[in-house]
Amino acid sequence: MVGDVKHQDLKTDIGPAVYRPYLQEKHPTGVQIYARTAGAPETVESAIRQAVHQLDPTLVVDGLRTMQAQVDNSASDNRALAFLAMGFSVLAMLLSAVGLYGVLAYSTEQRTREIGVRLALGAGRWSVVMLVVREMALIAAIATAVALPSVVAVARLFRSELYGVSTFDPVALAGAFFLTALMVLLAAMLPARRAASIEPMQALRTE
Amino acid sequence: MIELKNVERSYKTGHTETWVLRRVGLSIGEGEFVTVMGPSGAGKSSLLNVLDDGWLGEYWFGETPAHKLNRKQRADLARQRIGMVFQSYHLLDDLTVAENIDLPLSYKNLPSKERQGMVADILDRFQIVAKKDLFPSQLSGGQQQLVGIARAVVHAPALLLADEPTGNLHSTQAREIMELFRELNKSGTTIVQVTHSEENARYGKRIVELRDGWVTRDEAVEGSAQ
Repeated sequence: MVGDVKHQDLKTDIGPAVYRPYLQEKHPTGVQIYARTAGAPETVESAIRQAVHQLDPTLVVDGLRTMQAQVDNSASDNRALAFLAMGFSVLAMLLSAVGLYGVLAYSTEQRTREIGVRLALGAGRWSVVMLVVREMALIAAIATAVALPSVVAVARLFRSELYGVSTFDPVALAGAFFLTALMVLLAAMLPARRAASIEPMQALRTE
Repeated sequence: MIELKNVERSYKTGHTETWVLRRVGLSIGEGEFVTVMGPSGAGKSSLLNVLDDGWLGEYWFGETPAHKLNRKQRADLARQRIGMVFQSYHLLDDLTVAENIDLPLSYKNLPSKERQGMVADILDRFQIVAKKDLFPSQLSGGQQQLVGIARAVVHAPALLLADEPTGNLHSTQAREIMELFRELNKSGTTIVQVTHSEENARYGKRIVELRDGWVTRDEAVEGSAQ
């Protein structure tokens, strides 16, 4: 009995396979040998070459590599895609931060009179900062409530493309959440600071 | 109650410094109703809002030397002791009448129940209970100013500052507002109003006139409506 084996690459689905003795092949073109080693695979290269040579001196051993190297090689395209996706994600995040900053800066500008009134009626500068941050936090909370389930759902569609990661990775999701929170905080910082520095009487006079 | 000594204030525009208050000395006693008059740009509003930043001199609020306080402490002083009435009412559009009146209370450390009671009292006193759930856009100018004054006095401030409180109102509404000020003054609130109107000034007991930042006149009102 032979277990399921991925022969081509990591993504191709495992299909039915037939194993035939090598010596029964009329025109053998090549053979792949998998060797399980007791020590580090790199140290047994010469021993393998020697063993094959003893088997048949006409056999040429080429493409000798460790299983890890083979896996890495097989996943290299996916890894490149992953890096590309990561780059786009960073870009998307930066654009979102700039967009959020723009929205909040505009909203704060629109609320200058309100902030002036609040300050004139006794609001502390800190409570004005919180007013702006709260608005941003609300936007972020709504976005997160929509985005998190969507990420989990979309990840399932890409299950066959994934290797070595789960479709639901709490650590990655928590990391993304905290990174987003940090970005939101940074985007809110400048408008909040501007709101806190509004001179109430000036704001009410220039309305 | 208020003692200003050599108060000066200026604004910087580029390299130019414009003086709006020059060596102002003023003493306002408790329970007074003072009217500040003068042409536009004379420094009336700057005098009213002198507790903000950017002034020199001495400002005594009762026994408190406001000139020695930092920005936050001055804001606290204003929050505790002063009520503000604005020409343009400055009610917040997305809050109801009751919520607008509650606004200054929300910045004090008062229990919610106590705040609700204070708001209910002032709504009753100003006879606007029926309007408590309306938004400012549903009120006339006079009613909005009434709410503005209710908001200013809800925390029973010792001093009420009014910057052209009837500037946007019809003369009948303006008279009602001035009558309300007179009632508040009679009940012990010190009032300082800025106005261009001679008629409004007669509701006060004293007129202070400013020109180019200088106090040019300070006298009792003859034939005060009081």
